[in-house]
Amino acid sequence: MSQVRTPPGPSRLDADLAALAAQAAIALDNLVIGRASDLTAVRNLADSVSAGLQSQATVDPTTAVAMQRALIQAPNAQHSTTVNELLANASEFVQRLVSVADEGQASDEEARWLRTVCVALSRSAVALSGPLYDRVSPPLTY
Amino acid sequence: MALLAYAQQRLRSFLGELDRAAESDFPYPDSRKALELLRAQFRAKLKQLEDFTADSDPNVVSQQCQITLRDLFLFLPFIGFIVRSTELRNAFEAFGPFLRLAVDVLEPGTKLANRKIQLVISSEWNYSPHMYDRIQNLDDFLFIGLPAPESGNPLLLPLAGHELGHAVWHYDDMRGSLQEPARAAIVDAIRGNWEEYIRIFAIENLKPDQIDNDLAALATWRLALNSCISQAEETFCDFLGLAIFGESYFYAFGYLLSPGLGSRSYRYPEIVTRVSHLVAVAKALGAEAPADFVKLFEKEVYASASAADRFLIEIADEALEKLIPELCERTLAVIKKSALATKSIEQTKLILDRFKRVAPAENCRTIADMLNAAWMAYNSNDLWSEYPSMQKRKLEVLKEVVLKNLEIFEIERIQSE
Repeated sequence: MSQVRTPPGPSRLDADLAALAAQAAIALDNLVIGRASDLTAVRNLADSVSAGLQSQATVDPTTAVAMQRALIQAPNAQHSTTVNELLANASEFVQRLVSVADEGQASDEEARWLRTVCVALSRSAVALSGPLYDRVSPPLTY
Repeated sequence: MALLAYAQQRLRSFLGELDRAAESDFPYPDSRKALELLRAQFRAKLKQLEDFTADSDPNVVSQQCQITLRDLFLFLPFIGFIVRSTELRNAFEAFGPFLRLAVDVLEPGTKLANRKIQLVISSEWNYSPHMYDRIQNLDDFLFIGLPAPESGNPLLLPLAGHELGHAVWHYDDMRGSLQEPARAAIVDAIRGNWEEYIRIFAIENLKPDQIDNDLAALATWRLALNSCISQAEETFCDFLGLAIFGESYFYAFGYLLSPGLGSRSYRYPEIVTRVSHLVAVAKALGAEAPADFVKLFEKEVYASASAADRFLIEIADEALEKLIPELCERTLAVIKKSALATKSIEQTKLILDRFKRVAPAENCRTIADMLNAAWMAYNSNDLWSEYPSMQKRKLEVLKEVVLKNLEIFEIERIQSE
Protein backbone atom coordinates (compact mmCIF):
# COMPACT_ATOMS: atom_id res chain seq x y z
CA MET A 1 0.00 0.00 0.00
CA SER A 2 1.20 3.50 -0.72
CA GLN A 3 2.62 5.57 2.07
CA VAL A 4 0.30 8.00 3.84
CA ARG A 5 1.72 11.49 4.05
CA THR A 6 1.96 13.45 7.26
CA PRO A 7 2.41 17.20 7.38
CA PRO A 8 5.93 18.29 8.35
CA GLY A 9 7.27 21.27 10.19
CA PRO A 10 5.74 24.46 11.44
CA SER A 11 2.66 26.06 9.99
CA ARG A 12 2.73 28.85 7.47
CA LEU A 13 0.43 31.43 9.02
CA ASP A 14 1.44 31.38 12.63
CA ALA A 15 4.32 29.26 13.89
CA ASP A 16 6.93 31.10 11.86
CA LEU A 17 10.26 32.40 13.12
CA ALA A 18 8.79 35.74 14.26
CA ALA A 19 6.07 34.07 16.34
CA LEU A 20 8.39 31.39 17.72
CA ALA A 21 10.92 34.00 18.82
CA ALA A 22 8.20 36.10 20.46
CA GLN A 23 6.91 33.03 22.32
CA ALA A 24 10.42 32.21 23.51
CA ALA A 25 10.85 35.83 24.67
CA ILE A 26 7.66 35.53 26.76
CA ALA A 27 8.90 32.31 28.37
CA LEU A 28 12.27 33.89 29.17
CA ASP A 29 10.60 37.03 30.52
CA ASN A 30 8.61 34.86 32.90
CA LEU A 31 11.89 33.38 34.12
CA VAL A 32 13.31 36.89 34.67
CA ILE A 33 10.32 38.04 36.74
CA GLY A 34 10.23 34.82 38.71
CA ARG A 35 7.01 33.31 37.36
CA ALA A 36 6.66 29.61 36.64
CA SER A 37 7.52 29.23 32.98
CA ASP A 38 6.94 26.50 30.40
CA LEU A 39 10.12 26.60 28.31
CA THR A 40 8.82 24.54 25.38
CA ALA A 41 8.82 27.71 23.24
CA VAL A 42 12.53 28.19 23.97
CA ARG A 43 13.26 24.66 22.78
CA ASN A 44 11.06 25.15 19.68
CA LEU A 45 12.96 28.31 18.74
CA ALA A 46 16.29 26.52 19.19
CA ASP A 47 15.07 23.73 16.87
CA SER A 48 13.83 26.20 14.27
CA VAL A 49 17.05 28.25 14.19
CA SER A 50 19.12 25.06 14.05
CA ALA A 51 17.07 23.73 11.14
CA GLY A 52 17.49 26.97 9.16
CA LEU A 53 21.23 27.33 9.86
CA GLN A 54 22.71 23.86 9.56
CA SER A 55 25.55 24.38 7.11
CA GLN A 56 26.85 26.87 4.60
CA ALA A 57 25.46 24.80 1.74
CA THR A 58 21.92 24.57 3.10
CA VAL A 59 21.54 27.80 5.05
CA ASP A 60 18.12 29.45 4.75
CA PRO A 61 19.02 33.02 3.70
CA THR A 62 16.05 34.64 5.43
CA THR A 63 16.79 32.94 8.75
CA ALA A 64 20.46 33.86 8.31
CA VAL A 65 19.79 37.56 7.70
CA ALA A 66 17.24 37.70 10.54
CA MET A 67 19.71 36.06 12.93
CA GLN A 68 22.55 38.33 11.85
CA ARG A 69 20.47 41.46 12.44
CA ALA A 70 19.27 40.16 15.83
CA LEU A 71 22.80 39.50 17.04
CA ILE A 72 23.90 42.98 15.91
CA GLN A 73 21.32 44.43 18.32
CA ALA A 74 22.32 42.19 21.26
CA PRO A 75 24.84 43.58 23.78
CA ASN A 76 28.22 41.83 23.80
CA ALA A 77 27.29 39.50 20.92
CA GLN A 78 29.81 38.46 18.27
CA HIS A 79 28.96 40.11 14.95
CA SER A 80 29.16 38.15 11.71
CA THR A 81 30.05 39.14 8.18
CA THR A 82 30.15 35.66 6.66
CA VAL A 83 27.81 32.69 6.80
CA ASN A 84 30.46 30.57 8.51
CA GLU A 85 30.87 33.16 11.27
CA LEU A 86 27.12 33.42 11.63
CA LEU A 87 26.75 29.65 11.89
CA ALA A 88 29.22 29.64 14.78
CA ASN A 89 27.54 32.56 16.57
CA ALA A 90 24.04 31.18 15.97
CA SER A 91 25.16 27.79 17.21
CA GLU A 92 26.29 29.37 20.46
CA PHE A 93 22.92 31.14 20.78
CA VAL A 94 21.10 27.85 20.14
CA GLN A 95 23.22 26.05 22.75
CA ARG A 96 22.37 28.70 25.30
CA LEU A 97 18.65 28.33 24.51
CA VAL A 98 18.86 24.55 24.77
CA SER A 99 20.70 24.80 28.05
CA VAL A 100 17.95 26.98 29.57
CA ALA A 101 15.22 24.71 28.18
CA ASP A 102 16.92 21.59 29.55
CA GLU A 103 17.71 22.97 32.97
CA GLY A 104 14.44 24.88 33.39
CA GLN A 105 16.36 27.83 34.80
CA ALA A 106 19.00 30.43 34.00
CA SER A 107 20.86 33.21 35.75
CA ASP A 108 19.10 36.57 35.62
CA GLU A 109 21.77 37.95 33.31
CA GLU A 110 21.56 34.97 30.94
CA ALA A 111 17.75 35.03 30.77
CA ARG A 112 17.76 38.77 30.09
CA TRP A 113 20.38 38.46 27.32
CA LEU A 114 18.49 35.62 25.60
CA ARG A 115 15.23 37.55 25.97
CA THR A 116 16.80 40.56 24.24
CA VAL A 117 18.02 38.44 21.33
CA CYS A 118 14.63 36.70 21.00
CA VAL A 119 12.76 40.02 20.79
CA ALA A 120 15.29 41.32 18.25
CA LEU A 121 15.02 38.10 16.24
CA SER A 122 11.22 38.30 16.20
CA ARG A 123 11.39 41.93 15.05
CA SER A 124 13.91 41.26 12.30
CA ALA A 125 11.92 38.22 11.10
CA VAL A 126 8.74 40.34 10.93
CA ALA A 127 10.61 43.02 9.00
CA LEU A 128 12.06 40.51 6.52
CA SER A 129 8.64 38.96 5.87
CA GLY A 130 7.75 42.24 4.14
CA PRO A 131 5.03 44.82 4.76
CA LEU A 132 1.69 43.26 5.64
CA TYR A 133 -0.09 45.87 3.52
CA ASP A 134 1.79 44.62 0.46
CA ARG A 135 1.16 40.96 1.17
CA VAL A 136 -1.12 39.03 -1.11
CA SER A 137 -4.19 37.57 0.57
CA PRO A 138 -5.07 34.76 0.14
CA PRO A 139 -1.49 33.47 0.24
CA LEU A 140 -1.69 30.79 -2.47
CA THR A 141 -3.52 32.02 -5.53
CA TYR A 142 -3.75 30.19 -8.84
CA MET B 1 -0.57 50.07 29.46
CA ALA B 2 -2.86 51.25 26.62
CA LEU B 3 -0.97 49.17 24.07
CA LEU B 4 -1.82 45.94 25.87
CA ALA B 5 -5.42 46.96 26.57
CA TYR B 6 -5.95 47.77 22.90
CA ALA B 7 -4.47 44.44 21.82
CA GLN B 8 -6.64 42.52 24.30
CA GLN B 9 -9.79 44.33 23.21
CA ARG B 10 -9.02 43.67 19.52
CA LEU B 11 -8.76 39.97 20.28
CA ARG B 12 -12.04 39.99 22.24
CA SER B 13 -13.79 41.66 19.28
CA PHE B 14 -12.28 39.08 16.94
CA LEU B 15 -13.47 36.23 19.16
CA GLY B 16 -16.95 37.81 19.17
CA GLU B 17 -16.93 37.63 15.39
CA LEU B 18 -15.87 33.99 15.56
CA ASP B 19 -18.79 33.29 17.92
CA ARG B 20 -21.21 34.88 15.44
CA ALA B 21 -19.67 32.90 12.57
CA ALA B 22 -20.18 29.67 14.52
CA GLU B 23 -23.95 30.26 14.35
CA SER B 24 -23.95 29.67 10.54
CA ASP B 25 -25.62 26.59 9.08
CA PHE B 26 -22.75 24.32 8.10
CA PRO B 27 -23.47 21.96 5.19
CA TYR B 28 -20.64 19.61 6.17
CA PRO B 29 -18.75 19.22 9.46
CA ASP B 30 -15.28 20.24 8.25
CA SER B 31 -16.06 24.00 8.23
CA ARG B 32 -17.53 23.93 11.73
CA LYS B 33 -14.56 21.95 13.02
CA ALA B 34 -12.13 24.50 11.53
CA LEU B 35 -13.95 27.36 13.21
CA GLU B 36 -13.95 25.61 16.59
CA LEU B 37 -10.20 25.02 16.38
CA LEU B 38 -9.60 28.67 15.50
CA ARG B 39 -11.71 29.84 18.42
CA ALA B 40 -9.58 27.74 20.78
CA GLN B 41 -6.41 29.12 19.21
CA PHE B 42 -7.45 32.77 19.57
CA ARG B 43 -8.74 32.23 23.11
CA ALA B 44 -5.24 30.98 23.96
CA LYS B 45 -3.72 34.09 22.36
CA LEU B 46 -6.00 36.30 24.47
CA LYS B 47 -5.13 34.37 27.62
CA GLN B 48 -1.45 34.95 26.90
CA LEU B 49 -1.99 38.72 26.66
CA GLU B 50 -4.10 38.68 29.83
CA ASP B 51 -1.28 36.91 31.67
CA PHE B 52 1.15 39.80 31.19
CA THR B 53 1.70 41.78 34.41
CA ALA B 54 3.16 45.17 35.30
CA ASP B 55 6.50 43.39 35.75
CA SER B 56 6.54 42.03 32.17
CA ASP B 57 9.23 43.45 29.93
CA PRO B 58 7.74 46.23 27.76
CA ASN B 59 9.66 45.06 24.68
CA VAL B 60 8.31 41.51 25.05
CA VAL B 61 4.77 42.80 25.51
CA SER B 62 5.04 45.16 22.54
CA GLN B 63 6.41 42.44 20.26
CA GLN B 64 3.67 39.96 21.22
CA CYS B 65 1.04 42.68 20.62
CA GLN B 66 2.56 43.17 17.15
CA ILE B 67 2.43 39.43 16.43
CA THR B 68 -1.23 39.20 17.48
CA LEU B 69 -2.09 42.28 15.41
CA ARG B 70 -0.44 40.62 12.42
CA ASP B 71 -2.49 37.48 13.13
CA LEU B 72 -5.71 39.49 12.97
CA PHE B 73 -4.72 40.84 9.56
CA LEU B 74 -3.82 37.34 8.36
CA PHE B 75 -6.73 35.39 9.81
CA LEU B 76 -9.72 37.69 9.32
CA PRO B 77 -10.03 37.03 5.55
CA PHE B 78 -9.71 33.37 6.39
CA ILE B 79 -12.66 33.48 8.83
CA GLY B 80 -14.67 35.10 6.02
CA PHE B 81 -13.67 32.20 3.82
CA ILE B 82 -15.09 29.67 6.29
CA VAL B 83 -18.33 31.60 6.63
CA ARG B 84 -18.74 31.81 2.84
CA SER B 85 -18.17 28.05 2.54
CA THR B 86 -21.67 27.68 4.01
CA GLU B 87 -23.39 29.74 1.29
CA LEU B 88 -25.74 28.10 -1.17
CA ARG B 89 -23.86 29.47 -4.19
CA ASN B 90 -21.24 26.74 -3.58
CA ALA B 91 -21.42 23.62 -5.76
CA PHE B 92 -21.88 21.17 -2.90
CA GLU B 93 -22.13 18.34 -5.47
CA ALA B 94 -18.38 18.67 -6.02
CA PHE B 95 -17.46 18.40 -2.35
CA GLY B 96 -17.59 14.61 -1.91
CA PRO B 97 -15.84 13.66 -5.17
CA PHE B 98 -13.09 16.24 -4.64
CA LEU B 99 -12.59 15.13 -1.04
CA ARG B 100 -12.13 11.54 -2.26
CA LEU B 101 -9.60 12.73 -4.81
CA ALA B 102 -7.68 14.65 -2.12
CA VAL B 103 -7.61 11.57 0.12
CA ASP B 104 -6.43 9.39 -2.79
CA VAL B 105 -3.50 11.77 -3.29
CA LEU B 106 -2.62 12.73 0.28
CA GLU B 107 -3.67 9.61 2.20
CA PRO B 108 -3.71 6.86 -0.43
CA GLY B 109 -5.49 3.69 0.65
CA THR B 110 -7.30 5.40 3.54
CA LYS B 111 -11.06 4.96 3.80
CA LEU B 112 -13.02 8.19 3.83
CA ALA B 113 -14.30 7.51 7.35
CA ASN B 114 -10.72 7.20 8.62
CA ARG B 115 -9.28 10.20 6.80
CA LYS B 116 -7.30 12.90 8.53
CA ILE B 117 -7.76 15.31 5.63
CA GLN B 118 -10.50 17.89 6.13
CA LEU B 119 -11.77 19.91 3.20
CA VAL B 120 -13.48 23.29 3.03
CA ILE B 121 -14.45 24.62 -0.40
CA SER B 122 -15.79 28.12 -0.71
CA SER B 123 -17.21 30.44 -3.34
CA GLU B 124 -14.97 33.49 -3.01
CA TRP B 125 -14.99 37.15 -4.01
CA ASN B 126 -11.53 36.78 -5.48
CA TYR B 127 -11.23 35.93 -9.15
CA SER B 128 -8.23 33.67 -8.68
CA PRO B 129 -8.75 30.13 -7.36
CA HIS B 130 -6.71 29.91 -4.20
CA MET B 131 -6.03 27.97 -1.06
CA TYR B 132 -5.00 28.38 2.53
CA ASP B 133 -3.09 25.50 4.05
CA ARG B 134 -0.86 24.56 6.97
CA ILE B 135 -2.54 26.83 9.44
CA GLN B 136 -1.50 26.26 13.03
CA ASN B 137 -3.62 23.54 14.67
CA LEU B 138 -5.38 23.02 11.34
CA ASP B 139 -2.59 21.14 9.61
CA ASP B 140 -4.91 18.60 8.01
CA PHE B 141 -7.30 21.14 6.54
CA LEU B 142 -7.39 22.15 2.87
CA PHE B 143 -9.24 25.39 2.25
CA ILE B 144 -9.89 25.81 -1.45
CA GLY B 145 -11.51 28.96 -2.81
CA LEU B 146 -13.11 29.25 -6.23
CA PRO B 147 -14.18 32.55 -7.82
CA ALA B 148 -17.85 33.28 -7.11
CA PRO B 149 -18.97 33.69 -10.75
CA GLU B 150 -17.48 30.27 -11.58
CA SER B 151 -17.91 28.39 -8.30
CA GLY B 152 -20.93 26.57 -9.72
CA ASN B 153 -19.04 25.68 -12.89
CA PRO B 154 -17.74 22.10 -12.54
CA LEU B 155 -15.71 22.43 -15.76
CA LEU B 156 -13.23 24.49 -13.75
CA LEU B 157 -12.75 21.81 -11.09
CA PRO B 158 -9.38 20.79 -12.59
CA LEU B 159 -8.01 24.08 -11.28
CA ALA B 160 -8.69 22.79 -7.76
CA GLY B 161 -6.13 20.11 -8.68
CA HIS B 162 -3.52 22.90 -8.81
CA GLU B 163 -4.60 23.98 -5.31
CA LEU B 164 -4.33 20.38 -4.11
CA GLY B 165 -0.76 20.52 -5.42
CA HIS B 166 0.06 23.17 -2.80
CA ALA B 167 -1.00 20.72 -0.08
CA VAL B 168 1.18 17.96 -1.58
CA TRP B 169 4.07 20.44 -1.82
CA HIS B 170 3.85 21.09 1.91
CA TYR B 171 3.02 17.53 3.01
CA ASP B 172 6.06 16.21 1.15
CA ASP B 173 8.20 19.15 2.35
CA MET B 174 9.27 19.91 -1.21
CA ARG B 175 10.35 23.40 -0.23
CA GLY B 176 12.84 21.86 2.16
CA SER B 177 14.14 19.28 -0.27
CA LEU B 178 14.40 21.73 -3.19
CA GLN B 179 16.08 24.44 -1.14
CA GLU B 180 19.57 23.10 -1.82
CA PRO B 181 19.31 22.59 -5.61
CA ALA B 182 17.45 25.91 -5.95
CA ARG B 183 20.13 27.67 -3.92
CA ALA B 184 22.88 26.10 -6.02
CA ALA B 185 21.10 27.13 -9.22
CA ILE B 186 20.75 30.74 -7.98
CA VAL B 187 24.42 30.92 -7.00
CA ASP B 188 25.44 29.47 -10.40
CA ALA B 189 23.24 31.98 -12.21
CA ILE B 190 24.78 34.91 -10.29
CA ARG B 191 28.30 33.67 -11.04
CA GLY B 192 27.33 33.39 -14.69
CA ASN B 193 26.23 37.04 -14.67
CA TRP B 194 28.95 38.28 -12.35
CA GLU B 195 29.79 41.64 -13.93
CA GLU B 196 26.17 42.70 -13.97
CA TYR B 197 25.68 41.55 -10.36
CA ILE B 198 28.66 43.58 -9.12
CA ARG B 199 27.61 46.62 -11.17
CA ILE B 200 24.11 46.56 -9.63
CA PHE B 201 24.85 45.60 -6.02
CA ALA B 202 28.31 47.15 -5.69
CA ILE B 203 29.68 44.98 -2.87
CA GLU B 204 33.34 45.93 -2.53
CA ASN B 205 36.03 43.26 -2.96
CA LEU B 206 33.48 40.45 -3.31
CA LYS B 207 34.73 37.44 -5.32
CA PRO B 208 32.48 34.91 -7.11
CA ASP B 209 33.47 32.15 -4.68
CA GLN B 210 32.28 34.28 -1.73
CA ILE B 211 28.74 34.77 -3.02
CA ASP B 212 27.24 32.05 -0.82
CA ASN B 213 29.24 32.85 2.31
CA ASP B 214 29.22 36.64 2.50
CA LEU B 215 26.20 37.82 4.52
CA ALA B 216 25.92 41.14 2.69
CA ALA B 217 25.77 39.21 -0.59
CA LEU B 218 23.30 36.69 0.85
CA ALA B 219 20.96 39.56 1.76
CA THR B 220 20.97 40.67 -1.91
CA TRP B 221 19.94 37.32 -3.43
CA ARG B 222 17.64 35.80 -0.79
CA LEU B 223 14.64 37.33 -2.63
CA ALA B 224 15.74 35.61 -5.85
CA LEU B 225 15.81 32.29 -4.01
CA ASN B 226 12.35 32.94 -2.54
CA SER B 227 11.09 33.80 -6.02
CA CYS B 228 12.62 30.67 -7.54
CA ILE B 229 11.11 28.38 -4.90
CA SER B 230 7.73 30.07 -5.14
CA GLN B 231 7.81 29.70 -8.95
CA ALA B 232 8.83 26.05 -8.56
CA GLU B 233 5.84 25.47 -6.25
CA GLU B 234 3.41 27.00 -8.74
CA THR B 235 4.97 24.97 -11.55
CA PHE B 236 4.70 21.74 -9.57
CA CYS B 237 1.03 22.52 -8.80
CA ASP B 238 0.37 23.05 -12.52
CA PHE B 239 2.06 19.76 -13.32
CA LEU B 240 0.05 17.89 -10.70
CA GLY B 241 -3.23 19.42 -11.89
CA LEU B 242 -2.34 18.36 -15.43
CA ALA B 243 -1.30 14.85 -14.36
CA ILE B 244 -4.54 14.32 -12.41
CA PHE B 245 -7.00 15.86 -14.85
CA GLY B 246 -5.34 15.64 -18.24
CA GLU B 247 -6.57 17.83 -21.10
CA SER B 248 -9.37 19.40 -19.02
CA TYR B 249 -6.64 21.12 -16.99
CA PHE B 250 -5.43 22.92 -20.13
CA TYR B 251 -8.95 24.01 -21.08
CA ALA B 252 -9.85 25.18 -17.57
CA PHE B 253 -6.54 27.07 -17.36
CA GLY B 254 -7.08 28.71 -20.73
CA TYR B 255 -10.69 29.60 -19.90
CA LEU B 256 -9.81 31.29 -16.63
CA LEU B 257 -6.50 32.99 -17.34
CA SER B 258 -5.96 33.69 -21.05
CA PRO B 259 -4.47 35.99 -22.26
CA GLY B 260 -2.92 36.67 -18.83
CA LEU B 261 -2.86 39.78 -16.64
CA GLY B 262 -0.06 41.63 -18.42
CA SER B 263 2.15 42.38 -15.42
CA ARG B 264 4.73 39.95 -14.12
CA SER B 265 4.59 38.65 -10.52
CA TYR B 266 7.81 37.52 -8.84
CA ARG B 267 5.89 34.59 -7.28
CA TYR B 268 4.88 33.01 -10.61
CA PRO B 269 6.69 32.11 -13.79
CA GLU B 270 5.98 34.58 -16.57
CA ILE B 271 2.67 33.36 -18.04
CA VAL B 272 3.97 32.34 -21.51
CA THR B 273 6.86 30.52 -19.84
CA ARG B 274 4.40 28.92 -17.41
CA VAL B 275 2.15 27.49 -20.11
CA SER B 276 5.16 26.52 -22.23
CA HIS B 277 6.37 24.37 -19.33
CA LEU B 278 2.93 22.72 -19.21
CA VAL B 279 2.98 21.98 -22.92
CA ALA B 280 6.55 20.67 -22.72
CA VAL B 281 5.76 18.11 -20.00
CA ALA B 282 2.24 17.21 -21.16
CA LYS B 283 3.15 13.93 -22.85
CA ALA B 284 5.28 12.79 -19.93
CA LEU B 285 2.31 13.47 -17.64
CA GLY B 286 -0.15 11.57 -19.84
CA ALA B 287 -1.92 14.49 -21.51
CA GLU B 288 -2.04 16.10 -24.91
CA ALA B 289 -1.75 19.86 -25.18
CA PRO B 290 -4.41 21.57 -27.32
CA ALA B 291 -3.02 22.96 -30.58
CA ASP B 292 -1.67 26.51 -30.26
CA PHE B 293 -2.37 26.59 -26.53
CA VAL B 294 0.59 28.89 -25.85
CA LYS B 295 -0.73 31.39 -28.39
CA LEU B 296 -3.70 32.10 -26.10
CA PHE B 297 -1.33 34.02 -23.82
CA GLU B 298 0.52 37.34 -24.04
CA LYS B 299 3.95 37.83 -22.52
CA GLU B 300 3.89 39.61 -19.17
CA VAL B 301 6.04 42.69 -18.54
CA TYR B 302 7.95 43.66 -15.39
CA ALA B 303 6.34 46.51 -13.46
CA SER B 304 9.54 47.47 -11.66
CA ALA B 305 12.09 49.67 -13.42
CA SER B 306 14.72 48.84 -10.82
CA ALA B 307 17.79 47.12 -12.26
CA ALA B 308 18.16 45.12 -9.01
CA ASP B 309 14.56 43.81 -9.18
CA ARG B 310 14.97 42.84 -12.82
CA PHE B 311 18.27 41.12 -12.18
CA LEU B 312 16.88 39.10 -9.25
CA ILE B 313 13.82 37.89 -11.13
CA GLU B 314 15.93 36.99 -14.19
CA ILE B 315 18.25 34.98 -11.94
CA ALA B 316 15.23 33.27 -10.36
CA ASP B 317 13.86 32.45 -13.83
CA GLU B 318 17.19 31.01 -14.94
CA ALA B 319 17.39 28.86 -11.81
CA LEU B 320 13.80 27.63 -12.28
CA GLU B 321 14.63 26.24 -15.72
CA LYS B 322 17.15 23.89 -14.11
CA LEU B 323 14.48 22.56 -11.74
CA ILE B 324 11.82 21.71 -14.37
CA PRO B 325 12.89 18.07 -15.02
CA GLU B 326 13.01 17.46 -11.26
CA LEU B 327 9.53 18.95 -10.81
CA CYS B 328 8.15 16.69 -13.55
CA GLU B 329 9.76 13.64 -11.92
CA ARG B 330 8.31 14.55 -8.57
CA THR B 331 4.84 14.92 -10.09
CA LEU B 332 5.05 11.44 -11.59
CA ALA B 333 6.19 10.08 -8.22
CA VAL B 334 3.17 11.63 -6.50
CA ILE B 335 0.81 10.08 -9.04
CA LYS B 336 2.51 6.70 -8.70
CA LYS B 337 2.23 6.83 -4.91
CA SER B 338 -1.44 7.89 -5.03
CA ALA B 339 -4.53 5.69 -5.07
CA LEU B 340 -6.03 7.59 -8.03
CA ALA B 341 -7.84 5.48 -10.64
CA THR B 342 -6.23 5.77 -14.07
CA LYS B 343 -8.04 8.07 -16.45
CA SER B 344 -8.77 6.70 -19.92
CA ILE B 345 -9.88 7.97 -23.30
CA GLU B 346 -12.29 5.03 -23.69
CA GLN B 347 -14.12 5.96 -20.48
CA THR B 348 -14.10 9.60 -21.51
CA LYS B 349 -15.76 8.73 -24.82
CA LEU B 350 -18.44 6.64 -23.08
CA ILE B 351 -19.24 9.55 -20.79
CA LEU B 352 -19.26 11.94 -23.75
CA ASP B 353 -21.85 9.73 -25.46
CA ARG B 354 -24.11 10.17 -22.42
CA PHE B 355 -23.55 13.91 -22.36
CA LYS B 356 -24.58 14.05 -26.02
CA ARG B 357 -27.87 12.57 -24.86
CA VAL B 358 -28.06 15.25 -22.13
CA ALA B 359 -27.71 12.52 -19.52
CA PRO B 360 -25.18 11.78 -16.78
CA ALA B 361 -23.15 8.57 -16.94
CA GLU B 362 -23.11 5.75 -14.41
CA ASN B 363 -20.05 3.90 -13.17
CA CYS B 364 -17.51 6.62 -13.93
CA ARG B 365 -14.09 5.60 -12.64
CA THR B 366 -12.62 9.07 -12.20
CA ILE B 367 -13.86 12.63 -12.16
CA ALA B 368 -10.99 13.36 -14.58
CA ASP B 369 -12.74 11.26 -17.27
CA MET B 370 -15.98 13.11 -16.52
CA LEU B 371 -14.39 16.54 -16.84
CA ASN B 372 -12.43 15.62 -19.95
CA ALA B 373 -15.72 14.47 -21.51
CA ALA B 374 -17.34 17.73 -20.39
CA TRP B 375 -14.68 19.81 -22.13
CA MET B 376 -14.88 17.66 -25.28
CA ALA B 377 -18.63 18.33 -25.27
CA TYR B 378 -18.11 22.04 -24.68
CA ASN B 379 -15.55 22.28 -27.48
CA SER B 380 -17.80 20.43 -29.95
CA ASN B 381 -19.63 22.73 -32.36
CA ASP B 382 -22.16 19.95 -33.10
CA LEU B 383 -23.23 19.27 -29.54
CA TRP B 384 -27.03 19.29 -29.31
CA SER B 385 -27.32 20.80 -32.79
CA GLU B 386 -30.65 19.03 -33.10
CA TYR B 387 -31.91 21.03 -30.08
CA PRO B 388 -31.23 24.69 -31.03
CA SER B 389 -32.72 26.16 -27.86
CA MET B 390 -30.53 23.90 -25.75
CA GLN B 391 -27.48 24.58 -27.87
CA LYS B 392 -27.87 28.29 -27.18
CA ARG B 393 -27.54 27.54 -23.47
CA LYS B 394 -24.84 24.91 -23.98
CA LEU B 395 -22.63 25.77 -21.02
CA GLU B 396 -25.52 26.18 -18.59
CA VAL B 397 -27.04 22.82 -19.55
CA LEU B 398 -23.64 21.12 -19.56
CA LYS B 399 -22.89 22.43 -16.05
CA GLU B 400 -26.16 20.91 -14.78
CA VAL B 401 -25.45 17.55 -16.41
CA VAL B 402 -21.92 17.42 -14.98
CA LEU B 403 -23.08 18.44 -11.50
CA LYS B 404 -25.71 15.70 -11.66
CA ASN B 405 -22.99 13.29 -12.76
CA LEU B 406 -20.85 14.28 -9.77
CA GLU B 407 -23.80 13.53 -7.48
CA ILE B 408 -24.27 10.10 -9.07
CA PHE B 409 -20.52 9.43 -8.80
CA GLU B 410 -20.66 10.19 -5.07
CA ILE B 411 -23.83 8.14 -4.46
CA GLU B 412 -22.25 5.14 -6.21
CA ARG B 413 -19.20 5.44 -3.96
CA ILE B 414 -21.31 5.71 -0.82
CA GLN B 415 -23.36 2.67 -1.87
CA SER B 416 -20.24 0.63 -2.58
CA GLU B 417 -18.96 1.39 0.92
